[in-house]
Amino acid sequence: MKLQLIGFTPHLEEIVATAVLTTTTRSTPSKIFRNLTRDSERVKSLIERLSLQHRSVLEHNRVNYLFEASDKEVLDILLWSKFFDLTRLMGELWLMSTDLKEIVRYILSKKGSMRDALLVSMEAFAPTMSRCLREEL
Amino acid sequence: MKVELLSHSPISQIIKAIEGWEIRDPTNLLHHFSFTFSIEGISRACSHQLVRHRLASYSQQSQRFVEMGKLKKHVVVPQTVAEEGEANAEFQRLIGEVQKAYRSLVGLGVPTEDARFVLPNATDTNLLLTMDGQFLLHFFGLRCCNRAQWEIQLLADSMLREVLKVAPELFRKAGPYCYQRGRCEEGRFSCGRMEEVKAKYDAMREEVQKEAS
Repeated sequence: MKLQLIGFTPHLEEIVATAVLTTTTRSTPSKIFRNLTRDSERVKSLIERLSLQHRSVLEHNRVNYLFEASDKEVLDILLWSKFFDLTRLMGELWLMSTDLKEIVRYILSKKGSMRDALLVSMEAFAPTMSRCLREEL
Repeated sequence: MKVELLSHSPISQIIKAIEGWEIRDPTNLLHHFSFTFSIEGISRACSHQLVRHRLASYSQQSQRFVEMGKLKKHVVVPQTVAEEGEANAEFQRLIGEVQKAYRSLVGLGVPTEDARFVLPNATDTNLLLTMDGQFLLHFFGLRCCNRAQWEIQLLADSMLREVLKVAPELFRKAGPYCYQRGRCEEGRFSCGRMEEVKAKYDAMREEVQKEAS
Protein backbone atom coordinates (compact mmCIF):
# COMPACT_ATOMS: atom_id res chain seq x y z
CA MET A 1 0.00 0.00 0.00
CA LYS A 2 1.35 3.40 -1.00
CA LEU A 3 -0.31 6.74 -0.43
CA GLN A 4 0.75 10.00 -2.07
CA LEU A 5 -0.96 13.29 -1.28
CA ILE A 6 -1.64 15.18 -4.53
CA GLY A 7 -4.03 17.94 -3.48
CA PHE A 8 -6.32 19.41 -0.86
CA THR A 9 -8.68 22.35 -0.55
CA PRO A 10 -6.61 25.37 0.47
CA HIS A 11 -7.00 27.10 3.88
CA LEU A 12 -8.36 23.86 5.25
CA GLU A 13 -8.02 24.63 8.97
CA GLU A 14 -9.28 28.21 8.42
CA ILE A 15 -12.42 26.77 6.82
CA VAL A 16 -12.93 24.36 9.75
CA ALA A 17 -12.62 27.31 12.16
CA THR A 18 -15.02 29.33 9.96
CA ALA A 19 -17.57 26.51 10.24
CA VAL A 20 -17.24 26.57 14.04
CA LEU A 21 -17.80 30.33 14.28
CA THR A 22 -20.59 30.37 11.66
CA THR A 23 -22.74 28.24 13.94
CA THR A 24 -22.11 30.21 17.12
CA THR A 25 -21.81 33.88 16.11
CA ARG A 26 -23.89 36.51 14.32
CA SER A 27 -21.13 37.22 11.80
CA THR A 28 -21.23 35.90 8.22
CA PRO A 29 -19.02 33.04 6.97
CA SER A 30 -17.23 35.22 4.38
CA LYS A 31 -16.28 37.84 6.99
CA ILE A 32 -15.24 35.21 9.52
CA PHE A 33 -13.11 33.47 6.87
CA ARG A 34 -11.37 36.69 5.80
CA ASN A 35 -10.56 37.58 9.42
CA LEU A 36 -9.28 34.09 10.18
CA THR A 37 -6.97 33.98 7.15
CA ARG A 38 -5.15 36.92 8.79
CA ASP A 39 -5.10 35.40 12.28
CA SER A 40 -3.35 32.03 12.37
CA GLU A 41 -3.13 32.03 16.19
CA ARG A 42 -6.93 32.27 16.47
CA VAL A 43 -7.34 29.41 13.98
CA LYS A 44 -4.89 27.31 15.98
CA SER A 45 -6.71 27.98 19.22
CA LEU A 46 -10.14 27.17 17.71
CA ILE A 47 -8.83 23.90 16.27
CA GLU A 48 -7.18 22.95 19.58
CA ARG A 49 -10.48 23.51 21.42
CA LEU A 50 -12.44 21.39 18.95
CA SER A 51 -13.93 18.30 20.45
CA LEU A 52 -13.07 15.42 18.18
CA GLN A 53 -16.40 13.84 19.10
CA HIS A 54 -18.34 16.55 17.26
CA ARG A 55 -16.83 16.34 13.83
CA SER A 56 -19.30 17.74 11.30
CA VAL A 57 -17.23 20.93 10.91
CA LEU A 58 -14.40 18.75 9.56
CA GLU A 59 -16.44 17.94 6.43
CA HIS A 60 -15.93 21.22 4.57
CA ASN A 61 -12.93 20.09 2.50
CA ARG A 62 -11.57 17.41 0.18
CA VAL A 63 -8.19 15.69 0.25
CA ASN A 64 -6.90 13.85 -2.84
CA TYR A 65 -4.36 11.01 -2.98
CA LEU A 66 -2.75 8.70 -5.46
CA PHE A 67 -3.35 5.32 -3.86
CA GLU A 68 -1.46 2.20 -4.84
CA ALA A 69 -3.30 -0.80 -3.41
CA SER A 70 -4.62 -4.25 -4.14
CA ASP A 71 -8.31 -4.80 -4.91
CA LYS A 72 -8.72 -6.28 -1.42
CA GLU A 73 -7.25 -3.18 0.25
CA VAL A 74 -9.54 -0.95 -1.82
CA LEU A 75 -12.56 -3.12 -1.02
CA ASP A 76 -11.74 -2.94 2.71
CA ILE A 77 -11.86 0.85 2.58
CA LEU A 78 -15.06 0.98 0.53
CA LEU A 79 -16.79 -1.42 2.93
CA TRP A 80 -15.58 0.54 5.95
CA SER A 81 -16.78 3.97 4.78
CA LYS A 82 -19.10 5.32 2.11
CA PHE A 83 -17.25 8.64 2.21
CA PHE A 84 -14.07 7.49 0.47
CA ASP A 85 -14.25 7.97 -3.31
CA LEU A 86 -12.04 5.89 -5.57
CA THR A 87 -11.44 5.95 -9.33
CA ARG A 88 -9.18 3.32 -10.90
CA LEU A 89 -6.42 4.92 -12.97
CA MET A 90 -4.77 1.65 -14.00
CA GLY A 91 -4.12 -1.76 -12.42
CA GLU A 92 -3.47 -1.14 -8.74
CA LEU A 93 -3.30 2.64 -9.00
CA TRP A 94 -6.28 4.68 -7.84
CA LEU A 95 -7.29 8.30 -7.37
CA MET A 96 -8.71 8.45 -3.86
CA SER A 97 -10.40 11.34 -2.10
CA THR A 98 -12.20 11.95 1.15
CA ASP A 99 -12.68 14.67 3.76
CA LEU A 100 -10.86 15.42 7.00
CA LYS A 101 -13.69 13.97 9.11
CA GLU A 102 -13.24 10.54 7.52
CA ILE A 103 -9.46 10.75 7.76
CA VAL A 104 -9.70 11.50 11.50
CA ARG A 105 -12.28 8.73 11.97
CA TYR A 106 -9.97 6.26 10.17
CA ILE A 107 -6.92 7.27 12.19
CA LEU A 108 -8.81 6.93 15.49
CA SER A 109 -10.30 3.54 14.70
CA LYS A 110 -7.71 1.66 12.64
CA LYS A 111 -4.10 0.62 12.95
CA GLY A 112 -1.49 -0.11 10.29
CA SER A 113 0.36 1.45 7.39
CA MET A 114 -2.69 3.22 5.93
CA ARG A 115 -3.38 4.99 9.23
CA ASP A 116 0.28 6.00 9.56
CA ALA A 117 0.37 7.35 5.99
CA LEU A 118 -2.83 9.36 6.51
CA LEU A 119 -1.48 10.82 9.75
CA VAL A 120 1.78 11.85 8.08
CA SER A 121 -0.12 13.44 5.16
CA MET A 122 -2.22 15.51 7.59
CA GLU A 123 0.83 17.56 8.52
CA ALA A 124 0.62 19.21 5.09
CA PHE A 125 -3.04 20.30 5.20
CA ALA A 126 -4.09 20.25 8.88
CA PRO A 127 -0.96 20.64 11.05
CA THR A 128 -2.77 21.66 14.25
CA MET A 129 -5.31 18.85 13.98
CA SER A 130 -2.49 16.41 13.20
CA ARG A 131 -0.66 17.43 16.40
CA CYS A 132 -3.85 17.11 18.48
CA LEU A 133 -4.46 13.64 17.04
CA ARG A 134 -0.92 12.47 17.80
CA GLU A 135 -1.40 13.57 21.41
CA GLU A 136 -4.67 11.67 21.59
CA LEU A 137 -3.27 8.42 20.15
CA MET B 1 -28.66 37.12 -0.36
CA LYS B 2 -24.91 36.89 -0.79
CA VAL B 3 -23.10 33.84 -2.15
CA GLU B 4 -19.33 33.46 -2.29
CA LEU B 5 -17.14 30.50 -3.13
CA LEU B 6 -14.59 30.45 -0.28
CA SER B 7 -12.53 27.42 -1.19
CA HIS B 8 -12.40 24.61 -3.72
CA SER B 9 -10.19 21.67 -4.69
CA PRO B 10 -7.08 22.55 -6.72
CA ILE B 11 -8.55 21.03 -9.87
CA SER B 12 -5.77 21.61 -12.40
CA GLN B 13 -3.12 20.46 -9.87
CA ILE B 14 -4.97 17.16 -9.37
CA ILE B 15 -5.64 16.63 -13.07
CA LYS B 16 -1.94 17.29 -13.77
CA ALA B 17 -0.92 14.74 -11.11
CA ILE B 18 -2.90 12.00 -12.85
CA GLU B 19 -1.98 13.01 -16.41
CA GLY B 20 -0.99 10.06 -18.51
CA TRP B 21 -3.52 7.68 -17.02
CA GLU B 22 -6.72 6.85 -18.80
CA ILE B 23 -9.08 9.64 -17.85
CA ARG B 24 -10.91 10.47 -21.06
CA ASP B 25 -13.09 13.19 -19.60
CA PRO B 26 -12.18 15.13 -16.41
CA THR B 27 -15.92 15.64 -15.71
CA ASN B 28 -15.88 11.97 -14.67
CA LEU B 29 -13.73 13.07 -11.72
CA LEU B 30 -16.19 15.70 -10.44
CA HIS B 31 -16.92 13.69 -7.29
CA HIS B 32 -13.25 14.09 -6.27
CA PHE B 33 -13.51 17.91 -6.14
CA SER B 34 -15.25 19.89 -3.42
CA PHE B 35 -16.61 23.44 -3.36
CA THR B 36 -17.27 25.42 -0.15
CA PHE B 37 -19.66 28.39 -0.26
CA SER B 38 -20.49 31.15 2.17
CA ILE B 39 -24.26 31.64 1.94
CA GLU B 40 -25.62 34.70 3.69
CA GLY B 41 -29.03 36.24 4.24
CA ILE B 42 -31.29 33.48 2.93
CA SER B 43 -34.53 32.67 4.71
CA ARG B 44 -35.01 29.63 6.92
CA ALA B 45 -37.67 28.59 4.35
CA CYS B 46 -34.86 28.40 1.81
CA SER B 47 -32.36 26.63 4.09
CA HIS B 48 -35.01 23.98 4.88
CA GLN B 49 -35.17 23.18 1.16
CA LEU B 50 -31.40 23.27 0.87
CA VAL B 51 -30.72 20.70 3.59
CA ARG B 52 -32.96 18.18 1.82
CA HIS B 53 -29.92 17.70 -0.42
CA ARG B 54 -28.26 15.22 1.88
CA LEU B 55 -24.95 14.59 0.12
CA ALA B 56 -23.55 17.89 1.29
CA SER B 57 -22.11 19.40 4.47
CA TYR B 58 -23.74 22.27 6.30
CA SER B 59 -22.66 24.50 9.19
CA GLN B 60 -25.55 26.85 9.87
CA GLN B 61 -25.90 29.77 12.27
CA SER B 62 -27.55 28.37 15.38
CA GLN B 63 -30.66 29.98 16.84
CA ARG B 64 -29.76 28.30 20.15
CA PHE B 65 -26.47 30.15 20.49
CA VAL B 66 -27.16 33.34 18.54
CA GLU B 67 -29.86 35.47 20.10
CA MET B 68 -32.06 37.22 17.53
CA GLY B 69 -31.63 41.00 17.59
CA LYS B 70 -34.22 43.11 15.79
CA LEU B 71 -36.22 40.55 13.84
CA LYS B 72 -37.47 43.22 11.42
CA LYS B 73 -33.89 43.62 10.20
CA HIS B 74 -33.45 39.87 9.87
CA VAL B 75 -36.29 38.72 7.62
CA VAL B 76 -36.49 37.89 3.93
CA VAL B 77 -39.62 39.42 2.36
CA PRO B 78 -40.85 37.71 -0.82
CA GLN B 79 -41.45 40.05 -3.76
CA THR B 80 -45.11 38.97 -3.97
CA VAL B 81 -45.52 40.34 -0.45
CA ALA B 82 -43.27 43.40 -0.71
CA GLU B 83 -44.99 44.66 -3.87
CA GLU B 84 -48.54 44.40 -2.53
CA GLY B 85 -49.29 47.15 -0.01
CA GLU B 86 -51.89 45.36 2.07
CA ALA B 87 -49.96 42.06 2.08
CA ASN B 88 -46.77 43.85 3.09
CA ALA B 89 -48.53 45.68 5.93
CA GLU B 90 -49.93 42.38 7.24
CA PHE B 91 -46.50 40.72 6.94
CA GLN B 92 -44.74 43.55 8.77
CA ARG B 93 -47.43 43.64 11.48
CA LEU B 94 -46.93 39.95 12.20
CA ILE B 95 -43.13 40.27 12.23
CA GLY B 96 -43.51 43.12 14.75
CA GLU B 97 -45.68 40.94 16.97
CA VAL B 98 -43.31 38.00 16.75
CA GLN B 99 -40.38 40.26 17.60
CA LYS B 100 -42.27 41.49 20.68
CA ALA B 101 -43.17 37.95 21.76
CA TYR B 102 -39.58 36.72 21.26
CA ARG B 103 -38.09 39.60 23.29
CA SER B 104 -40.71 39.10 25.97
CA LEU B 105 -39.96 35.36 26.27
CA VAL B 106 -36.21 36.02 26.50
CA GLY B 107 -36.93 38.73 29.08
CA LEU B 108 -38.93 36.23 31.13
CA GLY B 109 -35.89 34.00 31.30
CA VAL B 110 -36.91 31.50 28.59
CA PRO B 111 -33.68 30.18 27.00
CA THR B 112 -33.06 31.31 23.41
CA GLU B 113 -33.26 27.67 22.31
CA ASP B 114 -36.92 27.72 23.37
CA ALA B 115 -37.79 31.35 22.58
CA ARG B 116 -36.82 30.65 18.93
CA PHE B 117 -39.90 28.44 18.59
CA VAL B 118 -41.92 31.58 17.75
CA LEU B 119 -39.58 32.73 14.95
CA PRO B 120 -40.96 32.56 11.38
CA ASN B 121 -39.66 30.85 8.23
CA ALA B 122 -38.81 34.33 6.94
CA THR B 123 -36.01 34.70 9.53
CA ASP B 124 -32.68 35.04 7.76
CA THR B 125 -29.74 32.72 8.28
CA ASN B 126 -26.09 32.25 7.29
CA LEU B 127 -24.39 28.99 6.52
CA LEU B 128 -21.29 27.33 5.17
CA LEU B 129 -22.08 24.74 2.49
CA THR B 130 -19.78 22.16 0.91
CA MET B 131 -20.75 19.94 -2.02
CA ASP B 132 -18.71 17.82 -4.39
CA GLY B 133 -18.80 18.65 -8.09
CA GLN B 134 -20.95 15.70 -9.11
CA PHE B 135 -23.61 16.49 -6.52
CA LEU B 136 -23.49 20.17 -7.46
CA LEU B 137 -24.42 19.18 -11.04
CA HIS B 138 -27.47 17.34 -9.67
CA PHE B 139 -28.34 20.29 -7.39
CA PHE B 140 -28.17 22.69 -10.36
CA GLY B 141 -30.25 20.27 -12.43
CA LEU B 142 -33.10 20.44 -9.93
CA ARG B 143 -32.84 23.91 -8.43
CA CYS B 144 -31.96 26.06 -11.46
CA CYS B 145 -35.17 24.69 -13.03
CA ASN B 146 -38.07 27.10 -13.52
CA ARG B 147 -40.17 24.79 -11.35
CA ALA B 148 -37.95 25.44 -8.31
CA GLN B 149 -39.10 28.00 -5.73
CA TRP B 150 -37.73 31.50 -6.50
CA GLU B 151 -35.33 31.85 -3.55
CA ILE B 152 -33.54 28.53 -3.93
CA GLN B 153 -33.47 29.07 -7.72
CA LEU B 154 -31.74 32.40 -7.13
CA LEU B 155 -29.34 30.67 -4.73
CA ALA B 156 -28.58 27.87 -7.23
CA ASP B 157 -27.97 30.44 -10.01
CA SER B 158 -25.59 32.38 -7.75
CA MET B 159 -23.68 29.21 -6.84
CA LEU B 160 -23.46 28.22 -10.51
CA ARG B 161 -22.07 31.64 -11.38
CA GLU B 162 -19.39 31.16 -8.68
CA VAL B 163 -18.22 27.75 -9.93
CA LEU B 164 -18.22 28.92 -13.56
CA LYS B 165 -15.60 31.48 -12.54
CA VAL B 166 -13.15 28.82 -11.35
CA ALA B 167 -14.01 25.71 -13.39
CA PRO B 168 -15.89 26.68 -16.58
CA GLU B 169 -14.76 23.59 -18.46
CA LEU B 170 -15.82 21.12 -15.74
CA PHE B 171 -19.22 22.79 -15.43
CA ARG B 172 -19.74 23.43 -19.13
CA LYS B 173 -23.03 21.51 -19.08
CA ALA B 174 -24.22 22.77 -15.67
CA GLY B 175 -27.65 24.31 -15.35
CA PRO B 176 -31.19 22.94 -15.01
CA TYR B 177 -31.65 19.39 -16.29
CA CYS B 178 -33.15 20.60 -19.59
CA TYR B 179 -29.89 22.52 -20.20
CA GLN B 180 -27.72 19.55 -19.17
CA ARG B 181 -29.61 16.89 -21.14
CA GLY B 182 -31.26 18.79 -23.96
CA ARG B 183 -34.72 17.62 -22.87
CA CYS B 184 -37.13 18.45 -20.06
CA GLU B 185 -38.00 15.66 -17.65
CA GLU B 186 -40.78 17.46 -15.81
CA GLY B 187 -43.50 15.89 -17.98
CA ARG B 188 -46.85 17.69 -17.71
CA PHE B 189 -45.31 20.14 -15.22
CA SER B 190 -42.78 21.39 -17.80
CA CYS B 191 -42.58 25.19 -18.09
CA GLY B 192 -42.36 24.73 -21.87
CA ARG B 193 -39.67 27.41 -22.15
CA MET B 194 -36.56 25.35 -22.90
CA GLU B 195 -35.20 27.73 -25.53
CA GLU B 196 -35.52 30.67 -23.12
CA VAL B 197 -33.79 28.66 -20.37
CA LYS B 198 -30.96 27.70 -22.72
CA ALA B 199 -30.46 31.34 -23.72
CA LYS B 200 -30.38 32.38 -20.03
CA TYR B 201 -27.62 29.93 -19.08
CA ASP B 202 -25.63 30.54 -22.29
CA ALA B 203 -25.77 34.26 -21.44
CA MET B 204 -24.63 33.55 -17.85
CA ARG B 205 -21.53 31.79 -19.23
CA GLU B 206 -20.76 34.66 -21.55
CA GLU B 207 -21.13 37.19 -18.72
CA VAL B 208 -18.84 35.22 -16.42
CA GLN B 209 -16.29 34.85 -19.21
CA LYS B 210 -16.42 38.60 -19.95
CA GLU B 211 -16.02 39.49 -16.26
CA ALA B 212 -13.00 37.18 -16.06
CA SER B 213 -11.29 38.76 -19.06
